[in-house]
Amino acid sequence: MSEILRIRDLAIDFNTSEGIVSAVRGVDLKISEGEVLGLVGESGCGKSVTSLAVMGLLPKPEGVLKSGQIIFENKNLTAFREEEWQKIRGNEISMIFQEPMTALNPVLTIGDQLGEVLQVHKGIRLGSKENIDICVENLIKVGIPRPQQVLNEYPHQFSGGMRQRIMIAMALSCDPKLIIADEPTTALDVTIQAQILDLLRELKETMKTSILFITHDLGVIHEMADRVMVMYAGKIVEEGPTKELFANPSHPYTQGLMHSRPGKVKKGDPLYCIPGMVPSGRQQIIGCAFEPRCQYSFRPCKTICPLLEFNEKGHGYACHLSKEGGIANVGKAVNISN
Amino acid sequence: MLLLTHVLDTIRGFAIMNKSAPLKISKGQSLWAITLTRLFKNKLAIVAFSVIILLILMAIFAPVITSFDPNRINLSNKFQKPDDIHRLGTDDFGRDVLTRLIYGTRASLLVGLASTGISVTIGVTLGALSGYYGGWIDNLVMRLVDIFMCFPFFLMAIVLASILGPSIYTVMIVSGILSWPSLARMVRAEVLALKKREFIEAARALGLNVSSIIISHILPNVFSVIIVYATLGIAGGILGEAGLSYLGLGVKQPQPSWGNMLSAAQNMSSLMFYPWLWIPPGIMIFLTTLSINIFGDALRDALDPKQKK
Repeated sequence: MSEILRIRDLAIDFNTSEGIVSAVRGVDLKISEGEVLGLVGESGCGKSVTSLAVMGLLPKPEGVLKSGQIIFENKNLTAFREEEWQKIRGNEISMIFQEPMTALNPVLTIGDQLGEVLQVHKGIRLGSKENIDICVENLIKVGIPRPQQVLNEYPHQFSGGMRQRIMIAMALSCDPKLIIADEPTTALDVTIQAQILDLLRELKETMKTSILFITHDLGVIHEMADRVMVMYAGKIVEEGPTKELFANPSHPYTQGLMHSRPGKVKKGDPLYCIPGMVPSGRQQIIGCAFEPRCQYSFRPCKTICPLLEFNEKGHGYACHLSKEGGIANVGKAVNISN
Repeated sequence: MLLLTHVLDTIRGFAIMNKSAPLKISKGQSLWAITLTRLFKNKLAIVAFSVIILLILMAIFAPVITSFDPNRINLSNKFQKPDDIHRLGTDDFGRDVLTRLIYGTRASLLVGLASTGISVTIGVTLGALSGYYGGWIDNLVMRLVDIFMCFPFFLMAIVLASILGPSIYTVMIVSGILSWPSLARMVRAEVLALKKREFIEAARALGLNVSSIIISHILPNVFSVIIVYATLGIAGGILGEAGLSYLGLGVKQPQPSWGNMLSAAQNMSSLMFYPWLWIPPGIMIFLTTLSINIFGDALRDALDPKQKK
């Protein structure tokens, strides 16, 4: 499988009135053709900022790309000018947003919004027969009934799930090579969530598009992703094939996340939670970012930042304990005693 | 293109209204169709709207309504009291007052529309640019707005009119140029709020360029503000015309306008002995601006999303 997107050492700062906030602190990432990469992490860990950087949509002038490269099909996007970005966005890389209720323009018909993408990137005039035909076809693809009428209707006439389908249809309009799905199911209720995930999986099979799937829901990622990356405080702390990672969560943070899921707790018992707070991006972090919350922390953790080290299965995690070899065992022991 | 679709939607709104008496918000209605159905539940708005339509028809069909020539001077027939032939009498040159009043509608409405057109064009463009781009563009435009807002309207109008020379075009330009700043501010505020909305982010993520984001995604959302302003602005334009023409700086004689007909009241003898010279244009100005203001207010209420159907 050929590589479609590679991010090297991406670091993004935000200049705020209270000083510089480091949102992303050196992320390396790779997506192959037809692969679904899941990016998990809690709020504020830099998942969305990473995805915005790939789209060239970092809020300006606050958001600053401090270092790193984003290479999409051998083109270095970080060197792109705005006009070049515009040709890529929605065409080769497209995005599905978190909030379907607000991501559609309330005063334009669905047809106008769907057709506009085609007009911009493919030069198929809005309102022409060809344009309408493609729009209808895309709406059928995402499972919208009576697509002809839908084109003349407004977003407020649809439910959240339907709007998310429409958003997906928009993202698919130009057969993109990469779709960034930024928590596409977070705002939906569980049944609709399942439908949308089914749809995305089906589209992935039929269209062979790569997907960067961002979420904080481990269940969702388990269903969707081929490979998972766990992000904490702007860094990747663990990475591996989905099955492998879920079977052997190795980083203390990932273990904590897995353990916090409500499924394993007996009725009446309090839910587990990782003690402490996510470090604020304003603090200078020298050692391991998770150190203050980590039950295994020892001497080097405070001063030396651990690097991702992979095993032969392609599963890697960034923790000093990996050298000691015993973390998984230690982790399991602790879990049982809990 | 977008404006056209809005107009079409509006017409569709009319059609839906007329078909069935108990109004039902049916499927596929745009904001404008809903607005119209709401608007026409307001009786006062219907009256005001009818008056406006009547005035427009009067302006268009002036030669059909009256057989007199508004500019034909007949000195032997001056200061005639209203009678069967000259229903509102004649003026100091023996011209038919009713005829001039009807033709005057043209001047007033033209000035109202053109000045609003100018101020909307400038105000929306500058407001949208300054709101969307922010930074130094915003600073520049907003300081310009501040400067324009410091000018006392009539003083400025008088100066400009005396530089450009009195004519109907001067009036249009003067009231257009002096009234855009408040609209620019309103549009800027709306755009500032809108550009942070997710659907604008989504539009950017679809690879649209700035001009199409502003024109086809942001401005339709600001449309309600613009349309309310424009309606009220027409009334302002008409008043401005009346004021300037009254001072002799507006529409030039012999072309009739309500303002320059009203200037007959500057003359003591007209004021006391020939009230038919100045009462009718006064009433017309009053009626027109009142109707437009009522209609504009109703429009604002109807466009208010917080209001229930």
